[in-house]
Amino acid sequence: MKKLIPKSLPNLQLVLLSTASILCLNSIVPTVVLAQNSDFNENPNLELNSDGILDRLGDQVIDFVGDNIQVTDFLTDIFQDFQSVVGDIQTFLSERGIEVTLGDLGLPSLEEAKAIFTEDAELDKLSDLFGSQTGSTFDNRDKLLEQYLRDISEEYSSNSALSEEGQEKITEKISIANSTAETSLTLADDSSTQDVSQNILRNISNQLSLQQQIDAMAMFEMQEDKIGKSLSLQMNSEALTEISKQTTRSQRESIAANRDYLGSIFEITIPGKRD
Amino acid sequence: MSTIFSLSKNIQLIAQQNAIGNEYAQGILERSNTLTTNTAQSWDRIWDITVNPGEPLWQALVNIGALIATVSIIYLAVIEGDRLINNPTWRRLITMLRFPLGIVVLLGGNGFFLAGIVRYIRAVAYSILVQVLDFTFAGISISDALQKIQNTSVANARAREIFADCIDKTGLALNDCLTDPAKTQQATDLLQALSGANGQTAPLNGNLLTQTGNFLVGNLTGAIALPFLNIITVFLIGFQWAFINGIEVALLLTGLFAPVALGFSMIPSAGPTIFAWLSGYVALFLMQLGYVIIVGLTANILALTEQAGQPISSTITDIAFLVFLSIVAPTLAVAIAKAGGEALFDGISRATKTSIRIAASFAGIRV
Repeated sequence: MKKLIPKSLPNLQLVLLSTASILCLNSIVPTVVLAQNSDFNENPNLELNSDGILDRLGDQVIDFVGDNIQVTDFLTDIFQDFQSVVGDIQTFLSERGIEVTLGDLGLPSLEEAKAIFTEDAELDKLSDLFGSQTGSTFDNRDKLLEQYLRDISEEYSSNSALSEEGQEKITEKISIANSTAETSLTLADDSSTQDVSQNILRNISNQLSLQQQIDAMAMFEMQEDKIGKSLSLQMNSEALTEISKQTTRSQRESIAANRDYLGSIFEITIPGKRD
Repeated sequence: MSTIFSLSKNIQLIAQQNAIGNEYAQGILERSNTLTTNTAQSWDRIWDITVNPGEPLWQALVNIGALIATVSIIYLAVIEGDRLINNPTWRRLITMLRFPLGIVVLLGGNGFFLAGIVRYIRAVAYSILVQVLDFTFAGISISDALQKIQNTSVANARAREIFADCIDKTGLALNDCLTDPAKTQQATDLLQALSGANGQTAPLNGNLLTQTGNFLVGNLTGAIALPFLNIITVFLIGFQWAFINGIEVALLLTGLFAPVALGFSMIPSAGPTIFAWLSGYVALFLMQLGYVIIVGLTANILALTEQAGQPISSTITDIAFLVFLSIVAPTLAVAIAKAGGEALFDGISRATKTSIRIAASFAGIRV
């Protein structure tokens, strides 16, 4: 990727500078640049000087090289940064100073947490705090895991969507999607007024690139969904296990009481009766 | 795949060593069926090894009786000796030595004759009990009537287990569950086994195994095993077992104290203690006899009611009859053994009050 203009320059300046340079060069090809497009200027979504992700990447969005519009590959870079979405996950373990290794996605390793519940006898006392102390270490471990999953899920859903920061991130993502789509539309408009096939092909190529980035964004959302769904599945699985345990216990109690009764019927003794 | 195979192999191994599932329940039935016979045989054996001149416990008790008799005879010699010297007559001497001679004979040879008499009385009382159980009313013996009710409870308990997984099903699934060939086959087999060779001990009409097996969905609710109800019934049966075995223990202890009672009989001041012992011993047998008659006749009433075409609900056999067997009948039997109409009415009133209090305590009501 060629970057002829320093990134530190404001986006509007970048656009104007690029426009000026194009006009000065008096290009042979009558390219309609974005700055000349009234739709582009009027559309606030295309103003790349907003805060947040757009602001950080604003000067990467569109570079003008000569008389061409080039779309940079920024989306895959930003959306690979899962940790910025997952955020800082605080659980009762981290509150107690116990660190669990984070995976590539920034989520704590459940396997490691399970091992900690099994090995750390001190944690047994914690189940009192969750009101689940039943006197059995095994049960307590289950309760700790349930609580841990709840902590992670709550933190993740809050970080990625529900908190102020999460909502802001989602809004930014929507903005990027909009601006990308708008750019693509501009390129399409541009192509319709072009009579140079090479430029039209470039526009199409750029549109394809933008479409790919939109696809990447959708893919990213899908991955996020997958994380949320996985956590939800884990929680459901724990809840189902608990319900299953209760059902099994109730059935066994019922059968045990019935078998006790069945056995005790034969204890009825009548004096003189021997069979 | 190999794990599944190994698991299935293990289950088969367990099944061979120790029956699982319904086979396990069937095993309980088979093992428990001989409980009454084995318990009765154990009591016989206990009598054989305690009331026996060759056994140390009996010998020790005979020695205690002999010691008391010796002390008593010295006392007798001191008190009666003067009178005999002042007024010597053969008649007086014979009267004086009548009991000591009898006691010496009974206690001699480590109480050989006494042990024989004690066990003979028991054998006679036992044979009377067996005869009573064989009494037949309208073609049904007391023994068979009792067995019918016991078998009804067994059928009900097994129905609650066999059809346990049908409770939470509805519609077609319920139909399939109730008509499952494996279940109906088990129900049929058990009913056949309980009925005996001539069907004389068949569970009462209205038992849950027949009712649920006949797809009477209304009875499905009766087939729900309520743990708290089972706990009550287990408690009632435990009470009955304790009462009957308590009488057996009382009989054994009374029998063992025969030499001691005989030793005290040497003292001439009161009436011979051995007669008091004998009346207590016989009263205990009468208590057993009274219990068998009360319980047996009530069982016959239920069997005859069923014979008249009235189905007997599971509540009667599983709860009402057990309350009668465990609380009412023992209280009445004790009252009757003590004799007296007043005692009888007192007994009925006390038994009713006790039953109500127990039932109320289970229901959480203070009476």
